[in-house]
Amino acid sequence: MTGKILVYITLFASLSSTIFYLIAANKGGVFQKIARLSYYALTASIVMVSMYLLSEILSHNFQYTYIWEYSSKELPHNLLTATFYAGQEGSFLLWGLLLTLIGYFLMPYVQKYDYENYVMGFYSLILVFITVILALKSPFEYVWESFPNIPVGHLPENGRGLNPILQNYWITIHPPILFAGYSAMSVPFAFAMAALAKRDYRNWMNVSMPWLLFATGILGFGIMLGGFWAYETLGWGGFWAWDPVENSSLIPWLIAVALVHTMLVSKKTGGLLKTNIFLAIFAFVAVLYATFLTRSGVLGDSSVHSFVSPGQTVYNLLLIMMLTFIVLSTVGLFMRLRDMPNPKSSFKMNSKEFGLSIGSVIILLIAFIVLLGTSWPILLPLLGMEKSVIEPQMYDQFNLPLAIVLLFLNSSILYFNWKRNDTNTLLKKTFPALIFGVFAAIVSSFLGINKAQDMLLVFAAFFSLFINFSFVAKTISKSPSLVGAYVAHVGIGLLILGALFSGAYEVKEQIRLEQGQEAKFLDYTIKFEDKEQIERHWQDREKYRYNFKITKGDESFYVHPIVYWSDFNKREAPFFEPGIHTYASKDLYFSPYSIETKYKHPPIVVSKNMKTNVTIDTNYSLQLLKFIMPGPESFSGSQIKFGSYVRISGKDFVIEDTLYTLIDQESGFNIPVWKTFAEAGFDVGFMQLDVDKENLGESKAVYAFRQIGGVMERPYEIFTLEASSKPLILLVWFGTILIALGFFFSIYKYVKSNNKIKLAMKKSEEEEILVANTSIDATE
Amino acid sequence: MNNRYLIGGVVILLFVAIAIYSFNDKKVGYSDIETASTSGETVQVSGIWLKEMQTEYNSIDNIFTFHIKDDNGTETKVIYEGAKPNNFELADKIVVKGKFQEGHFQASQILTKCPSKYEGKEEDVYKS
Repeated sequence: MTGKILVYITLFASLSSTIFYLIAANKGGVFQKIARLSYYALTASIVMVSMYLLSEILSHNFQYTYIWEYSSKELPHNLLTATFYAGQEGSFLLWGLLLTLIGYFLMPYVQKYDYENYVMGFYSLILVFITVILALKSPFEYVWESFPNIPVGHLPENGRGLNPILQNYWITIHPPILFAGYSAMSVPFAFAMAALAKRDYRNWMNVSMPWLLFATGILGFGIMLGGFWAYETLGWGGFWAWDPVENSSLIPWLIAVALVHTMLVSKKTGGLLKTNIFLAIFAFVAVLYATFLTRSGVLGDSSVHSFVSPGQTVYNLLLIMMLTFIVLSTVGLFMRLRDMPNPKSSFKMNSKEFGLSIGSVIILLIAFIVLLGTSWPILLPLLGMEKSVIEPQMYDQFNLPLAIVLLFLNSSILYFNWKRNDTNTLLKKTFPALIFGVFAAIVSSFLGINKAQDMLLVFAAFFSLFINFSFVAKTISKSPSLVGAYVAHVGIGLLILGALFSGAYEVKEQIRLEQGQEAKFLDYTIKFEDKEQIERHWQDREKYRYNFKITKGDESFYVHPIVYWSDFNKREAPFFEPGIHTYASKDLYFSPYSIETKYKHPPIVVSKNMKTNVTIDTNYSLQLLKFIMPGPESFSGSQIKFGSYVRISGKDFVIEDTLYTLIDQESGFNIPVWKTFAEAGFDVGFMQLDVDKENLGESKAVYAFRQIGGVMERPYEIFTLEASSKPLILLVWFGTILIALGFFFSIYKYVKSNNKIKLAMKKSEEEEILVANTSIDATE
Repeated sequence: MNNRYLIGGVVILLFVAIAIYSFNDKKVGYSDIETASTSGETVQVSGIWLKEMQTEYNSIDNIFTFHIKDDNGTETKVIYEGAKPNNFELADKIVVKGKFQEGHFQASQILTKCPSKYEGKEEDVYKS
């Protein structure tokens, strides 16, 4: 009850905060105070909801369906904590919590800039929707509420536990960061709505810019962590598969990146006012769309990610939430369309603003391609056409030329001046970079780059890297706060290079190895040495670390793919983790495909009267004549002695005898009583009884063989894996980190310049832009 | 309206049109087994895995063979040149992409719909 009551308090507080903030926008005074109090109450209650859920998880209260479904007593603390958001209900709570906390810090910020009522009003409205979802799809539902036949008050002994694929440290890092990015993306939206309401079409950009940069930086980082998780642990082979889940988080990020650039144009030229408001709204709607795609079950058939249908309620709620915000913002935008100033801003072709705008258009085109491709399976049925999906290669095909142009722009533009330029000087300035790019492309052709478009991409990437590097070098000592953009651009260049080389120029090969065997891959010799069991203290799993020795010339090292059997799927099939060896220039990546267990002379499974060859010596055959039901004398302790009467036939003799197996009732293990057939020259063991409950006569027996007095043959394993070499994959991770860092550096720059804007707030608009101009950009 | 914007607009529209056209050209449609077996087109078919039928990964040739049944109840053998997907046995639904060839469905891709969340069932509450 406590949890549910707290959720309703949260819902009430968010409603109250929304309503009173929006009233306060006109009436001010006491309403604003009520609104603030409501927001504090909201913060307190959602923190309490979260603490409550967490404490119930930590104390294993499996009476709650949510906790029962995702956690178990065996999980270590960090993973147990992560089960907080392992399912739908909890991840909505996490989203709500992060939104609220960000809002808590947003409030004093917007107070300084006189933006509080509208921004916090619209911001709280988002929270209303999230808390409604939490109220209707509650993590605090009892098992007897979820399942009608469970008696009230039943406490399951243990939970179902967390999917083994999710059981690693990534689940503690990736989702919170991604949700922080999603949450932060709401701030520019709230600002844009406030701008429309206040008819202030310029100032909101300066004020919201640091938040936009924060949102973009953290969302980008979160997305890439997901990619790294897929690569490092899940063994998907790459970091990006153009899967709907990945795509849907990429779309808001791309829009936000475009917005960062169009806002910059706006500040400098006073133009693109409508564009910016539109993009801020669009980025947020894309976040909602991403949630809708991944949480509504709508993409059920098109993704390797699983989407369990969450039920009609969540589907409807998410759809209503998305549509509400689309309608609200569209109406707002149209109401103000005529009111918005339409500054004369015909950008000259060779001006910085023009280049930046084109760059933004290209980023938006990429976003459009991803959006269109991801929505394709939903879009067609809506248009009355047959459902179909897009091949992932389509994304590469479309984005490659766009990436080339983008890299060319994000560098050469830095030499452009605002307003107008002389083409000759530009050529002169970019000349060294051009040479460098051409040189790099030629070198790359010797390294195996063989397609014209790929060479163009290499050229563009090195061109961009050269210029952006030199700008980093130029500014870092003079004005370090300006370095962010260049660092991010360097990151993009490295990321694209890494993606090209590791994706299009990887070498892969399937390898099949028995224990002790060797195989060749490129110049490497791979030897399957042995395995060792790890995490032995766990009862619910059998996890093996395999030791593969890789040798090349004098150098040798080990990689350790992991094979993992879990109770989670009743140990029916193993889970795999790849083994990776990282060089500066490439990764060697070993992704397990299958593990087979074989015997040279396998045990046989027979039903009654069936005659089967003895595997250790096929001159003989074995026939099961009958089972001997255990009598009272067969029981000793926990063991039952169970017999089977068999006939062993050779060319010139037949022996019949009874073989026994000891079934331990406690452990369920069978221990064979080996019997020697001296004439035949081997021992036979009755290993196991496979009882057919429906037809006892169909029950089967398993027999194994060994040399007389010998040891039973141990099975050997055959490991099949995909070996691949992924050149320059390190650049992908390094590039991404630089991108995120670039955004964070830039926050500092805007916070600094905003302090000046605050001083200028009372001055006229023209003066204000002037201040911004002089304070922000020292590069020209 | 400036001429340049007009050109820009046309270029963007052209790009969008090309995107839609080629997406439509390269798309892979959904189908059922019966239609797919007669049309011979590359399609995407979803169904459930028939556990009791032959299911075998041949690691020497890297060929994975199994059988599925679609919503209409039609069954087919599926041959996939590649390893058995990681969570094949866990999947409650299998989506295969490919086309019919010599009486079986030759798959180029398998998507396994594995619930990363396994919906709990009532009997599990007692078991645990």
